[in-house]
Amino acid sequence: MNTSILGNRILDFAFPIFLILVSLGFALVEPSFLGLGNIFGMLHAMAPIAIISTGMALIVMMGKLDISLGSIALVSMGVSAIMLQSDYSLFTAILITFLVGAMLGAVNGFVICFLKVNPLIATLGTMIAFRGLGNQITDAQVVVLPDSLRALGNFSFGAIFFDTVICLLLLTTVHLLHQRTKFGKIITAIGNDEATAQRVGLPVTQTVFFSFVIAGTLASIGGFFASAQVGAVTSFLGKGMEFTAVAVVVVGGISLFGGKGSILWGVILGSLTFEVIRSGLNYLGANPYFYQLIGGVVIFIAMYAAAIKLGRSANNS
Amino acid sequence: MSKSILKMHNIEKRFGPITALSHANFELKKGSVVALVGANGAGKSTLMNVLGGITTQDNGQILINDEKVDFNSPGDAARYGIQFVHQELSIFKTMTVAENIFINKFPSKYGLISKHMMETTATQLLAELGSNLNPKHSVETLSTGDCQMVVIARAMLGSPKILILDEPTSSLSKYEKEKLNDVIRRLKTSGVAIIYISHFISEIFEVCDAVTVMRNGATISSQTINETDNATIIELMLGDVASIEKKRKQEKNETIFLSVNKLQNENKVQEATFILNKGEILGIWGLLGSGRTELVRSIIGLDGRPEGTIRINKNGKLSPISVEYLSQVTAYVSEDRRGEGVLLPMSVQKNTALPNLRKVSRSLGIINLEKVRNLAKRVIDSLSVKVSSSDQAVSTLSGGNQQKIVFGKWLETEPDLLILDEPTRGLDISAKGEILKLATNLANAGVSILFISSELEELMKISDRYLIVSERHVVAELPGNSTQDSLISALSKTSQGSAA
Repeated sequence: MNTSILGNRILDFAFPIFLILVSLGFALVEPSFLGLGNIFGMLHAMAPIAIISTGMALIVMMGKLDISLGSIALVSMGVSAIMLQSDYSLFTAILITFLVGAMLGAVNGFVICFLKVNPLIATLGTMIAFRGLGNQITDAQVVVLPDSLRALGNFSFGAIFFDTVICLLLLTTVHLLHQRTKFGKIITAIGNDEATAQRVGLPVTQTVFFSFVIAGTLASIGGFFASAQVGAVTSFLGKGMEFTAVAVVVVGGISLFGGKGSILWGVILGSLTFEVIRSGLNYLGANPYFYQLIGGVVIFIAMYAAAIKLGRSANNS
Repeated sequence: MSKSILKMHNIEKRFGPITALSHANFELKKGSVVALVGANGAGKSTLMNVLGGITTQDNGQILINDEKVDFNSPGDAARYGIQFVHQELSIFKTMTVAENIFINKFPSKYGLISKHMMETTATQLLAELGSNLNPKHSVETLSTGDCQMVVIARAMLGSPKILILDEPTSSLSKYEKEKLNDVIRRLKTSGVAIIYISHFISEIFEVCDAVTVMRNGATISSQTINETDNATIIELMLGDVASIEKKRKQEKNETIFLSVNKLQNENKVQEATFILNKGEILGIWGLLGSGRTELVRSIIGLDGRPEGTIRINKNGKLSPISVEYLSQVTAYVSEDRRGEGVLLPMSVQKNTALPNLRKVSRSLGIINLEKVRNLAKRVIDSLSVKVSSSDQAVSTLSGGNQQKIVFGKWLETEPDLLILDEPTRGLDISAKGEILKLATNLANAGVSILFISSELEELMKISDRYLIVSERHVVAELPGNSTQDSLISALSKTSQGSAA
């Protein structure tokens, strides 16, 4: 009994320890890796994916998935990029970006809650459809963003970037929503057992619907900062981000079966793990494809650790 | 004498052609505990679902404090102070005790849940129930008994006047049962009336003030606990059996086919010892929850690894065998036909082929569709199953025909041992007759049969011998010519014995 609790503790801290060791390893080869400049740089670079992962974490808490988030980022950002080209104000364009994100999230919610389609299949469909829609809007061309928006993407308070601050704000808000509100508790209950939640009389349908709306909105915010960082919307915007977000959530210790994990720590830990590996390999001048290989291995290890943990708790009960 | 807070008067309910309730009456006094008992399918659950607002009655009245009420949802019932604790506990494992209690009504301030308030109230509620569970703990590691406390505490949050406990003790340990009885007594003194549904007759005498017995959708007796006893209740539950005509004459074959010695399986089966002769129908007689299903499941290894020895006759010699071997020569008609017997959305031919895949395959395991169709045709013809074609989905068949499919697929495996667990449940009279006839024919052909039934009449029609099962033990064995009285008293004696 005690050894298995100890074992679980070790598994809980496996990724933070791994993260620290890997960072120290990189720093040994290249001391400036752990310099403040690079640390804040990493927090800046990971902000968009961390924001998208925050929405994903909310969905995964219910034991569901939304793999259309990357495509939502493209459509919503595509719309506002086109608007900015035709002289709409920056404020209006930003507002429209987030509204489009919320609307596309509502489309997902509708298909899942009212047409009763399995979330993975539903969002697989919308992932493809939304990407098609996004490319239609931008004509699959690179749309350059105005200077005001580019400036926002790389704006910083001293060393701390604007998007890092927004990311932390959003992350904390969603974390509180999950931990401290009725809405969040119902999400956890659905992640435990949707049928039981229904039987107890919880508003399951509304909760699932609004979670997808929130995830869609966060995807558009993530997409906004991602394109602001590079100064343009390309047809590649958000591509693969949905899967990176799933990986972030899993590495962050949030169970894909739902109901378990911390959104705040999970998303920070997950995003930081991938960012440290990416940035570190970059520092070492490694081939960028090598990063994908390592990323895959990390995901595999995370899933394996989760499986071991699940096996342990099944044996204990 | 306190007055009635609940009167249910002449409640009737039909589900399609089946009458679930006919003239059910129920009365409950403030602060009293009334047991609701009845055999399987007697209508207890339907009656309580009507009271809990889960289903609506076709006819009849519900009076709460002499005021006529109509319930269309569990919420309606809750407004009149009725809380239902279902047998299957609605528990969210990764959440804390307090969160589970407050799942329907989190106390919040400015949209944020007030953890402190929730936890203090939870502690209070639990203390009132005599439980000192920590509200901050996750329920994941709690025992069933503690989970039940959590669910009862959740019900108490609705300040109930009437609390329905459905089979509350079915998975509790002895110690937990005593704790639950304590809770029931506490609630009673605080004025809550309790309806206690149970299959364990002896338990009723520990906490209940009165007993209402149901049979065939009607309430047939309501007595105070002092007016009645164990044997009377069981007799009322089972009813009078009409004249029994044995389906076949007493089998004289004394070749032992199966010998089970001191079979022990955790707390499911306790030291079961019995023999089964070749071509014999051994009736297993016990009330629901007595462990009869667990006994047969343990023999064929469906519930983990039992201890003890199982021997079967191989070439005239009894030799010990593993449960795996036995499961290969056994056909098991489960009591859960729709869940375990057939795959409802699949066709008749796919269902009949499943246990016979080797028989219908060519080399390399490729299935020969011709053979699949022929096999289905054999089953349909020999058991005269009513289907338009073997492509028809099993879900579209009547219960009787579904059960024939279950029989048919197993008979094609040519089993040596046939286990029939409530094979006639939910079937109409003619289908019941056919199933019994089928079982007799098989026994005549040399198949050994273990037959479980809650209906004494059909059990008596068909059994060559009886095993009496009570509270997880095989407690007695009775000859085939035993009378109804001796079978009933065998049960009540044993349950009385363990109650003492």
